[in-house]
Order: sequence, then structure tokens, then C-alpha cells
Amino acid sequence: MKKPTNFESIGLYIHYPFCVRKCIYCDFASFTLDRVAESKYFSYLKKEVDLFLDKFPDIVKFSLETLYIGGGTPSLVSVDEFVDFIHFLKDRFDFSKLKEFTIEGNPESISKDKFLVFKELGVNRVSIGAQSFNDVTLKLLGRVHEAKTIEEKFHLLRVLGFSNINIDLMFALPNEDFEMQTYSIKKAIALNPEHISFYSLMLERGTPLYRARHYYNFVDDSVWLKEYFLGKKIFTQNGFVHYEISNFAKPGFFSLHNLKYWESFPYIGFGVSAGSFLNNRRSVNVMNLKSYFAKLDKGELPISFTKRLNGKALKSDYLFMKFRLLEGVSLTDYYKKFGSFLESDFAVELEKLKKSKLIKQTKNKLTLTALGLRFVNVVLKEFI
Amino acid sequence: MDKIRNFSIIAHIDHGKSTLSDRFLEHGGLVVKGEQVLDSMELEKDRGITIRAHPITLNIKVNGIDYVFNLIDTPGHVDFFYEVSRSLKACEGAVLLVDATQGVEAQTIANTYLALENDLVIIPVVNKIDVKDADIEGTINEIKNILGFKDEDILKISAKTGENVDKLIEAIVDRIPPPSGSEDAPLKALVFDSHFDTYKGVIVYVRVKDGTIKKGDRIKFMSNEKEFEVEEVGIFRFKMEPIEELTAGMVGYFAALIRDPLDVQIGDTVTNAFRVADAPISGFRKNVPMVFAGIFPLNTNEFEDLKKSLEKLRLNDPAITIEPDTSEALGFGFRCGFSGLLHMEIAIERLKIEFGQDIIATVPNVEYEVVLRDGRTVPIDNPAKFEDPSKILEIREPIVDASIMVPPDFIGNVMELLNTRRATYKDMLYPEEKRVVIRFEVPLQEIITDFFDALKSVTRGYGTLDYEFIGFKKADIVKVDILINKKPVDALSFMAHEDKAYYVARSMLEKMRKVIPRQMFEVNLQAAIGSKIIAKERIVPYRKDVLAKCYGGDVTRKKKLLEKQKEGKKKMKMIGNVEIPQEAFFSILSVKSSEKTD
Repeated sequence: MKKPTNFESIGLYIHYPFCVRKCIYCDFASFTLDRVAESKYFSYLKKEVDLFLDKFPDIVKFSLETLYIGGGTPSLVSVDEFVDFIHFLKDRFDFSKLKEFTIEGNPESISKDKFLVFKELGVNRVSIGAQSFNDVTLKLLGRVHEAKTIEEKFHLLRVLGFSNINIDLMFALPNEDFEMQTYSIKKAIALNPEHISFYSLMLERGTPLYRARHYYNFVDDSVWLKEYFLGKKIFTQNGFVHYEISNFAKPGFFSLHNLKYWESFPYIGFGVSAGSFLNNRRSVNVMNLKSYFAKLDKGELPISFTKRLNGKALKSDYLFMKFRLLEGVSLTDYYKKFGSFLESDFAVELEKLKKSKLIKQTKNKLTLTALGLRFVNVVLKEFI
Repeated sequence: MDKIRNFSIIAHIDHGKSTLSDRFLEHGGLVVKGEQVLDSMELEKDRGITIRAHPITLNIKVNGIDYVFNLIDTPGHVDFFYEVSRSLKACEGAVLLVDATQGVEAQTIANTYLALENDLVIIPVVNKIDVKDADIEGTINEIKNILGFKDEDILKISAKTGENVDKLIEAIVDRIPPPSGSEDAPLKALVFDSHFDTYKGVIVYVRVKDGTIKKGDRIKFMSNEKEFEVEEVGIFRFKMEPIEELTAGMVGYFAALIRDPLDVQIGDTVTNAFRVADAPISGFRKNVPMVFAGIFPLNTNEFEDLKKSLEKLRLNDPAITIEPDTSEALGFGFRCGFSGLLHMEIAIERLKIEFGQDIIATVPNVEYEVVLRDGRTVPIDNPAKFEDPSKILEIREPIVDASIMVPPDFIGNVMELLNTRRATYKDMLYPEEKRVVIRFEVPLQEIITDFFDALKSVTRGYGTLDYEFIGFKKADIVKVDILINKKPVDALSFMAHEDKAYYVARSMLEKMRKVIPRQMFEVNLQAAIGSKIIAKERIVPYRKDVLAKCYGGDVTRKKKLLEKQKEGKKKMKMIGNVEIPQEAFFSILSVKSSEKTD
């Protein structure tokens, strides 16, 4: 197949929806691993990619800047299937300018042989789903690993030569107190990763944890804030930059792929539940395997929702995502992007937010204040 | 005149009043049997009146003799004590209709008491005898035991099938006396209702007691001495039907190009301006607003709409007074006066339902007389206009002479209720064995918020209340301000007796604490009399609102989640920087004076 000539860069996301088992808090598209289903899934992923390229031949103008394999638990992937699939992608997309190639993994399934192959394929960033360094919590959450495995596998990845590693860490965890959280934060920082995603547990409807929520203790707002700000303090003291609500990175190690989401740059996603933002159109794929297969069998893209954004919605989406970044919104960037002034497009909203001290303006930038960081939803709601 | 019978039907809702009316209409030849009669409520809606139906005049032949039946409807709700009693005063008799499947209801008893008070002849009737599970004997026993009628007085009919309706018609002729009065005497007519017609002005509903009234007559309302020239007189069929003249004993209407609905008051007496009657019909009460409340549009930009609606409402309900008002918290609106709390509630309902207005009504209060140190006496009907306490010498509150009619079993409960209302007991009358009238004086303020409800609940629905303003009396009245984050919210200020201010304030603040959602900052609620804080509450802030994750695949989903929360916010009313949901506002303003905190 003839490789396209490229003008613009794009992010590509591949969803690998299989796990050993589903964690009790998880509301992502994930299913118990089954090699037959996995094999079928990869063949349908290929169908989706080709169908997509068929329908959007314009995509040939783009080159891949980032590739992100998320899940699920991508570290469980069958090496052969994966190698085959990446080669399939390389035949269709321009990988020559690929800067960041991330794969997510659970400590348990990170192995030397597998990750050597991944490295060969170009993977240069690994995101480890550590979540906690307290075994009792890991067990409660339904994770398959123990705390010591995190450390072992982290060191293994270093030995294998991975120099850009993210650790996913959660706070506000069920039955955890502030001391336990402090312990996890210190353990994580001791590994000296390049990137830390530091999320509060979100109690999502429909999850087993939600149904059993009355059996667990959850932290109140004040402990929540104490834990969040302890993390922020320790990470920044250790040279991390707090660059997104829940993300910290050493300078030069911001997640390029995730920045595409927050900066409203174009990206394509393949696989169940994956989303795309291309030519001002947002699309999201179906959430379950059955309809994913069924739609592709009918020769349709497995989309459950798609919407082309008009002028105002595009601006509103832009701000909705961009305000999550601590560097804030640049008035000149906004003008360059939309040809209109942010100060007049959202005059009332900005005034209100400034008055309530949720955002502040410095030179030509609007950024969240410390208060705004705690009430980011209040800020975001103004723009929707 | 001896061929006229004026009567009304007393019945509980669904006991078959409209079905029986239909049968009367058939006998009167106004409708053919089986034809669907227009629901009187529908007729009403066309005219914008929903409190009651208009009267109807029927020509019915009984034993070969032509009679004129005037069926006068009464407001269904006995709590419109005065209006009901005026309608009954236009009659000589009443048909008491009881559903044999339901038995005697409390409201029916209350209405029967009223009819007896007005010396009406009552024909007790058991209805729905055709229904399979009708308990005819049981119902007859109830009528005998509770109301004291005799077996032989009670008729058994089916309004639906028409069975024995002719017997009822005969009984109406035989038992209800014809009107008395003299056609030669000066005109004396009772005003019992009215409505507004765009072309003819106020249409006045009258029962002529003495004399005659015809086109060209110069008439005078005896209460206000206003004179008009009669343009049209007539009787009510389905529509108004002009006739030559109305004479003593008749029920009908007249129009006299009366442009101001306030000139016509229910219970007033109409006489001839050149031949004035010696005395008006007794029992008239001047229509004075007793209860005041602010009415504001929920959306401040709907002020003009509300204004138009209120003006229309007032044309058919002249007892409402309307003054423009402004509130810092609620924007532009009106200060409205009503004859009582129920009147206010009905007016508000009508504004909402008939006129589709989204409104907020403030806590109702009475009108106080404030004597200032400079010697002036000013009326105050709005807490926002309360004078600086240092300038006030004394405050006087309106006192009413009230009576409660109940079966004797409930005396104890009523006395207990009165104890909590600053009432002064006067005496007790036993008009007959089955009912007692408890008379007392009470500050009007004490009975305007939830007294009806309380009375109904302690008397299982049997109690009725009537009251009449007797004067102002000095009282320790204070104005209580409600402050949200130190800022007084004018719309929440209220006036109360000093002894009760604390309790009302406490329950108001507690209600606020429960219904105002947590905000980003702490909300301090205070109740103050002048600069003295008498109660306080705080609403602890929520301290964070963070969506931890938002990535490529879930932008839309997360956005929708926040959108939904934002939708909820749109229905909030901003008081200062505090967001208060609409429903919360309603419940704060509906705090009852008797709600005490434990």
C-alpha cells in the first residue's frame, strides 16, 4: 500500500478492552481476557481502520505524532497479534514523525520479553497502573497486583531502557486514611518516574463499588483536599510540574498524546469506546464488543455518537478542555484559532469567574486560581 | 310571586350536584333529555370565572301550574364563608344532596349549618340510589343523627336515572316558601355576585327582595352611595337573557355601565336613587383587603405579563388590590391585598393556572397601624416599608371577632388550638344539640397563615371559621429581617408578635438550612430584630467540585454530565451571590407561624 504524504500531525488511540478481571471502580469498556475474542478483536480493529481510511481519505494528509495503546490492560496483549497490528498500522500511517508511543500496563503483566518486543516496535513510554502502594487497598479495589510488584516491574522497565514512565496513582480511596495515602505518594515519588497521573477515585454509577458504597468509608471533602494538595506539594517539590488537574510531569515529559485532548488538536481512536476529534467533528465508538462487531459486519463505522461542532460549540469545547491545563488559556492562541476575541465571546462568563476568584488573568493568559483548581467544574460549566 | 322558588343545592364534590342540575334543566325545557349539557365549569372558563357557576332561571310545570325555579349556585368551599352566606341569603331554601355511596361529608355539614343560620328550608335528599353498593339506610341514618332531620323529610332519588326527581321538584314547590316582599315598596336588591363584561361593564347579580328594577332606572348602591343608570336587566338562562323588569322575589342581573369593579361589592344592597329603601339588607361587610403579600414574577423580565394578568384577574375579582412594589431580591412586582388567606391562595392559583404566570409570593401579613413619635399614624402593609423602630411610638394590629362552628366533640381540640394563637375566648353558643359556636377575639395575623389547615385537622374537617374585623389593638409587633451572609433579604422580612418572632425565625432559618444547597462558600443565615440577632444557622460550604479525568473518549460524556448540573442551576434564584432553587424559595416562604422547633 502506498504511504500517504503528510502535512499535519495527529494522535492515534487504540483501545485494548481486555483485563484479567475488572476492578470494582472501573466504568471503562473492559472485558475478561479471552485469546479467541482478542484475535477476533484485532481482525475487527483492522476492519475499522480500513473502513475509516476509506471514508476519510483526507486522513492521508496527517502524520502520526503520538500513538497511545490504552485499555483495558494492554500489557496482557498477545505479542504476535500486537506486532502484526502495529505493522498493519505502519503500512497505513506515516510513523516517521512519531514522537510518543505509549502503552498502558498493569505491573502483573509487564514482562521482560514482551516489553523488549514493544521497545523494538517503537514504544517509548509506559504507563503503569499502580493506583496504590497499600496491598489491602489493591486487594479491595480488585487489582491483580501487589505493591512490591509495582517496584519490581518499574525497575525492570528501567533496565529495559524505558526512560519515560508514568505511574497512575489514586487518592480518596475507600477505607484509606490520610496516612495510607501519604505512604503511597512517597512510594511513588521514590521510584522517580517521569510522569505521575494522580486521580481521585470517582464513584461511578453502575460499578460494583458504587453498589457497595455503603460498606466502605470514603474520605470527606477536607481529607480529599488534604490528600490532593499533599500530592501536589510532594510532586512539585521533587521537580514535577503540575500541568493538568490530575497530571504531573518532569519538564519535557508532559503526555503529548493527552495534550492533544486538552488542546483540542485532532486525534483518531479505534476500538470499542474510543473517541475521535477530526475536522471539528467529535465521535465516540460503541461501548461493547457485540455491537462493535455487528456494526463492522454491516460495513458501518462502529460509532455510537457523532457531532460536528459549529462555531460556538467548538469554542466552548475548546475552553472546556483547555481550562483543565494549569498553564491556562492564551488569549492570542484563542484569537489565532477562532479569529475572534475570547474576552468578547465569553465576556459575561469570564467576568463572573474573575469576580468569584476562580480564574485570574495575567498578561494575555487566563488561568485557574488555587480556588479554581478545587472548583474546576464550576469554571468549566460556565463554558457549556 | 308565590310561583317563584329560589334555592341552591348543597352537596359535597362528586355527590351529583351537576347531574341533578342537568335534570332540573331538562324539566325546565332548556335541554332535551340525554343531550350532553355543557359543563358549567367550561362556561365559566369562557368568562374567566371559576369560583362558581352562574344562577339559572327555569320554568317548570308542577301539577299543571307554571313555576319559576331559580337555582343559585354557591361557592363549593365553605371557607368562603361570607360569599356562601350571601348566596344563601338570596334563597329561601336548599336541597341537601348526599351521595348514598359516600355518606355525609364534613363540608356538607358545614354548609348545612350555614343554610340553617340563614333560615333556609332544607330538603334532605339521598342520591345515587340506583348504584349497586349504595348504603341508602345508613346514609338516611347519618342525615337523621348528624343533622337532625326526620325520616319522612328525606327523599331518595337518582339524579342519573331521573328516578324521583319529579318528587323532589314537588317537594321544592311544597316545602320551600315563595319569596316574601312587596313589589310596591322601594327597590331593595341583594348583590350576590358579579362579573365583568368588556362592553357592558360590571354585570351585577341580584336577588330582588322588594320593589322593581328596569332599564332607565337610576339605582344606588347603599354602601358607597354610588349611583348608576340601568342599561339592561335580565335573567340567566344558559346565557343572559334581557327582560323588561325584575320584580320582588326574582333573581337576575342588571348592567349599568359600571366601569370600576370596586364599586360593586358582594352583599351590598341596591336601591332606587329617587326612592331609597329605609335600610339595607343586613349582614353586609365592606370589602377591605385584610391580607397582603408581594407577588413577583419568577423571571424578572416577565413583569409586564404579570401586570396584565393581575389587571384581568381583578376585573372579575375586585376584592384584590394591586400596588406596584419592588424588591432588591425579587425585582419588580406587586403588593397585593386580599380579603383573606384563602382568597389569596385562590388568586395565586388562578394566576398560575389560568394565566400561566410563574410567580413567587412572599409571606402574607396583615396591615398594621403604626403610631410615630411625631404624632402621625401610618398604615403599614409591607415589612419592607416598616419605619425605623426608634421613630415608632406604638404599633397596633388588626383584631377580629371570630366564631368557629363545630360538633361539640371537638371543643377541646379547638380550645387548644386557640391557646396557641393569642386568642381571647368570649363565649360558646349551642344553636342546637349537634353543633356549638365558639366565639373569640384573635389578632388577624394569627389566623392568616395556616389557621384553616390547623382547624380542619383538629376537627377532622368539620370546623368552619367566620371572622369580622373589629378594630386595631396595641401589640408588641416586631419586624424580623432575614440576612444571608449579613445582607438583609427584603423579600424574606416579616412582621410578627414579639413572643412568636423567635420561633418563626428559627423555623424559617432551619428550613433555609435544609433547602438551600451547599455553596462554594459558607452561607451564614441570621434572623434579626433591628440590630439584635435572634437566631442563626450556617450552611457549610462544599469544598471541591472536580472532575478528575477527562480524556479523548469521554469529552462528550463528561460535558453532558456537567451540562445536566448546569441545567439545574438555571432554575435557581440568585440572592446576592447565593443560589437558591425555586422550590427552596417556595418552601422558605411557606413557613407556618405555628411550626415550632423542638
